Order: sequence, then structure tokens, then C-alpha cells
Amino acid sequence: MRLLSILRSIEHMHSLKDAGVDGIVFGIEGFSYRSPLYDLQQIKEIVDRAKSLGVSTYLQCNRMLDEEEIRPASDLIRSVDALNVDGILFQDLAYVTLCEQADAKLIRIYAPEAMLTNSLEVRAMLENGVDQVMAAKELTLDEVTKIARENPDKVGVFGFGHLPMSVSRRPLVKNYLDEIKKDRSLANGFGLRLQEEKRAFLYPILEEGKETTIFQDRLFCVLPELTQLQTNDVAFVLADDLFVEEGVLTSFVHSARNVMAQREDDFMDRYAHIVTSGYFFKKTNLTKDGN
Amino acid sequence: MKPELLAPAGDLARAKTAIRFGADAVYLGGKRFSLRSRASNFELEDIREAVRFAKEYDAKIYVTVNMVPHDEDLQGLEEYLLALQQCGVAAIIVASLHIASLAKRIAPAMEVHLSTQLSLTNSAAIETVRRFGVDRVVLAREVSLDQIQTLSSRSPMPLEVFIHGGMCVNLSGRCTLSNEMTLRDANRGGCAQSCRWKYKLYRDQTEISDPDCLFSMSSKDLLAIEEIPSLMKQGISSFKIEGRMKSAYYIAVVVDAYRKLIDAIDQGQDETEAIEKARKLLMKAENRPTANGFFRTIPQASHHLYGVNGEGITQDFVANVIETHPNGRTSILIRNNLPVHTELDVLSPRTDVRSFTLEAIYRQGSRIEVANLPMEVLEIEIPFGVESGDFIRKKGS
Repeated sequence: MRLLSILRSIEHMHSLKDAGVDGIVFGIEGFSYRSPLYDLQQIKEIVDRAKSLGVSTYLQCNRMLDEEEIRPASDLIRSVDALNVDGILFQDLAYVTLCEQADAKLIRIYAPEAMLTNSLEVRAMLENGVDQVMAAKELTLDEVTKIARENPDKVGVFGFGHLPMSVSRRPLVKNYLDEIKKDRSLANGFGLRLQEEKRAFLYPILEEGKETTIFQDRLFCVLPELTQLQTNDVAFVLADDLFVEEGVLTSFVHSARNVMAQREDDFMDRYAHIVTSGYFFKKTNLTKDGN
Repeated sequence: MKPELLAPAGDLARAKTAIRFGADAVYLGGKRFSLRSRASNFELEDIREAVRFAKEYDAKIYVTVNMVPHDEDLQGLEEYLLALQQCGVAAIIVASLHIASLAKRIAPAMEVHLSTQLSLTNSAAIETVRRFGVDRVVLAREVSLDQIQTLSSRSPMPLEVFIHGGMCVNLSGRCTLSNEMTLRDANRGGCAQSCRWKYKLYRDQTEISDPDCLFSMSSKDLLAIEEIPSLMKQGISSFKIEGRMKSAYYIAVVVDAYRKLIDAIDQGQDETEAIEKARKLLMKAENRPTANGFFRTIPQASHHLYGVNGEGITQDFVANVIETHPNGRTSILIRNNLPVHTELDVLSPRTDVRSFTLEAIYRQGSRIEVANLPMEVLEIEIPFGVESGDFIRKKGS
């Protein structure tokens, strides 16, 4: 099982490598959001540095593409393939066709967030132009391990970070600020939180480019279940540091490497008060009647 | 070619209403494998009857098999698909590419339509899903009119677009607000519409929301009557109305309005007049406030509902026609308060709205002044011919 991490800055790469990361994930302007964005020149630098460190590189293209973005996306595929980026994580099924048309050697990782929820769905994707997938974050641990066992070394999981709950193509915060006649610039940046009027949680909300995303308030952390994922043929675990204090991501990677090597580790002792197991032990199949 | 008008139905009666009022096809959900679990009331027998009724009107029945299933949900799927095919269902609507390929393999008589849950917004993605045996794609609600035009010219398969009804404010299929708030899986029929709830908004620990008008993501409903002429010119195959949980009256009004609008444009009638006529008809449905979605622009503040609790449902619909009698009276099923001397409209399929003044109401032969018991069967006199299933409402302005 491989450990992948978001690359928040190019300078961060060495510390991630030292902590034990196998691969780094980054975004590119126009095609990514919720990830650090780089241009092609910077990506070339990232790839060169990563290769010298023996670290794999993955481009995260998680925006859905509008029709007019197809040609630029096609050009992008050819460019990053030529730069020897190892793989691409994507939400939009367009990338399957675009990679095929470009005859790109990129590893194609389909990561549609909530949509990959069973073994047969995964198999269908693997039989139709996809190399690996990321399972939905809303699965229980039993469901994830079953899917991974039935598709060995093909299924990755989100392992650390704030789980996204929704994505809108509307500027939800700016629209609201317009409605209440407040300055639109308040919508910028990472400091916004939503609190449902009857609940205590403070959900991060991020308006970025064309998308508005709302995240869970708690920090999902897979460390206690990492060994089970490893023994059930999960291909990779991805860690993110959006809304996470500096240094915590590196610490997670270091601890994950410890756990995988069955060494003692105290990450959970230090961060137990802020982390959660997400949906691993929480089924979300209730009906309106509570059944 | 004239596009298909595709209407929703939450039960058999509503399916028949949609077809009588001019839907070319109706989509409905079975008790399993479908989203909108509260609106999925169709047993296989009901589906078979819906298909039989639809054939009388040269219409089709589509069945939603659009949940995003976990492994535990897949049991019995093959048998179900075979049964739907055996019922004569024309197409299934799916959100799973596994189900798409499976259906194509074991039940090839049915078309496979890919749900808007997949959020398809471009021709390359459509090209990708073609390999799974998909016959038609329901576009994401996030595409503009210009994008639809380009997409339509490049798409290797027929396209369907939403023209009316409720809007998901988030990308369909990617929203798990309900999972977090209520442990109900939006992708398995449990959507609690948490997007329509109210939220306080903070920036760096300071509340910036207005306590009298809290943050909400609640979207106005889609109303696309002004876009119908363009969409028809673009060769879109199917115009979809949202609302499997809506009432029979709503279905009748909305289908009637779009049926007349599409036919008028197809016949070369004045577009502006036809649109205004449709707009007046639609105002009588129990709509939320409406906007035109992403067709012309990225939705702005005016496309949202802020500080609203109710949905502004009208009480204009007062009764259904049950049957007419030789003595000239008509049995009606009371749905809302109805006093005598009320000015009423009758909504009948493919006919202009007709009006009359209610002169008398009879309960078991005796005159009464007001009908105020919902679901009571009473008799009235209507000065023109009506049919079972017609709708009676307070006269429009």
C-alpha cells in the first residue's frame, strides 16, 4: 500500500519524503480546486525533484469540465504526459477519453468522491479504461475492505483530512453576501465556517474558482484502521491538509509509515481530540422514518 | 424532430394524469434501486399497468434504477431488470455504469439513460460512457444554453435536459450533506434536503450572517419556458420535468403547459405569445418561486431562496372530477375549501381552460353552502362536458 500526500508547496517535498511518502498529489490552475495549484513550469520542477527523491507524482484534476474546456484539457494531458507525471486523479469521465486519444501513459485514477460505492462498479471502471479508483468516503470499513479485496491493488482511499460533503457550481457565499448587502470579498480565503442553526459543528466552506465546497468539521484519520486497509489490498491512501495546521500532514505521513511497519506511534494520542473515523463505523442508510 | 416531453409520477394515478395531459413518456420509481424513496410506490404490477395505459396514448414508461448502490443493495438487481423488461418498460434511468452495462447485457430491449447524478457536462465524458452501453444522457443541470448547443452538435448520443422543477444546488451525486446531518444517504434515496436548511456563517470566529436572514443554499425551482424554442432548435431529444413527489394537480398543470408550448412552437406559432400563455398556465401550479437555472448565467442571489420557511404553495386546486351523471350533475372529490358562488376553472387534457361559477353543491341530494371536508365526494353542476380525472381549481386572474 502506497502513501500519497497533497503537496502544499514545492519546498514541502523533502519533509514529506523524509516522513515516508510514496507519492505526491498536486493541482493545476483551471482544472483543479481544493488543492495547491501550480503551472506547467512548476510541475516540471516538481516532477524533476520528485524523480530524484524516488517519489511518484500525480496530477489532481478534480473539476468537472465544461464543453469549452475539453480542448485545453486535452492539451494539458499531452503536456503533463510529456513531463513524465506518473498519474492523474480525475472526477470527470472525460479524462478517460482524453487520455486514450492522447495515448498518454499516465496512470488513470478515477476519483468521483461519493459515486464509487461497490465492487462491481469498480470492476466496470477497471474494464473500461481506468487503471485505479478511489472509493467513496461514505463507505464503512467493511465495505471498503470488501471492495479492495475483490479488486486487489486497484482501490485507493482518502486517509486524512476534512471530508468534502458537497460541491456546488454556484458562488454560494458571494450570492448570500449580495443578498444581505455585505462585501463580497468576505467570501475569499479559508476562514469561512457554516453552522447549521440547530447543530454545534462548524463546517469549513470554501469558495474557489467556479466551485463552492463544504467540508466536515472534524478531521478524518485512517491511522487506527491502516493495518486493515493494508492487509486487504488497498492500493493507496491519500492524505490532504486543507484546513489543517502546518506540520500535521507530515506528522500523519510519518505516523502512517510507523503503523505500516508495526512500529509504535503516538499520533492518535496527540490528536484523538480532533480526529474522527468518518463513516468507517457509521452506516448512512437510514430512511426518513428512522429505519 | 419534436422533443419528447418527459414527466414524473409518484404513483399510478399520477402516471395516468401525466399521460392524459400530454406527456410522451413518464418516469417512475420502483420500490427498490431508486432514489426519491418516498416517491417510489410502484410495484411491478403498477408498472405493468402504467405501460399498458401508456401504450393506449402511444407514450412510454421509464423506470428509475438510479440509486448509487453499495454492495449490500445489489441483491436481486438482475431479476428486477429482467422483470422490468418483461413489463414492457422502454428505458431505465441509471446512475451506475455497472448497472448500465449489466442491463444492456441481460435486458437489451430496454434503453439505458444515464442520470444527471453523473453530472455530465461535456462531449468527451459522453464519449466515455458510451462504452458502457448508455443510449441517452441526462445532462447536468449546470450546463448553459450555449454549452448545450455545442454539446448537442458534438454528442454521439441523444441528450435529455431538465426544463422544470426542483433544483439540486450541489452537483448531483456529489452531495452528502444528508449523510452527515441525518445519516441518510442522498445517493440511496435518503436526501433530507439539508441544503434548504438555515446556517449561520462565520469568518474567523465572527458571525457575518444576518440573524434575520440566515445563510441557505436553497435554490429556486427551474422554469425554462423561455428556453424551449432554443432547446428545440438545438435538437435536444427529451425535455424533463422534475417532481416525482409532486401532486397530480401539479403534474397536470405543468405537463399541460409545456405540451401546449412545445406543440405551438412546433406548429410555427408566435413564440412570445406561446411562452406567455404557458407562463400563465404554470403560475397555477404549486411552485416554489422560479428561476432559469444555469441556462443564461451562473445563478446569482436572485436564484436562491433566503429567509423562506414555507414553499408558497397555492390552495387554488379544489377538486377532481370523478364522474358525470345522467341528471347533469358531476361527482367531485373535494381537496380544498370550496364555497358556492366561487368562480372555477376546469383543466382538461389538450383543451383550453374553461370557466364557470359554482351555483350549488349537493351532499347526498341536499344543498350545502361550503365543501370543507377534504376527500369527501360531493355533486355539483358544470355547464359543459368534463371527464374523470379533470381538475377543478379557483379561477385564475
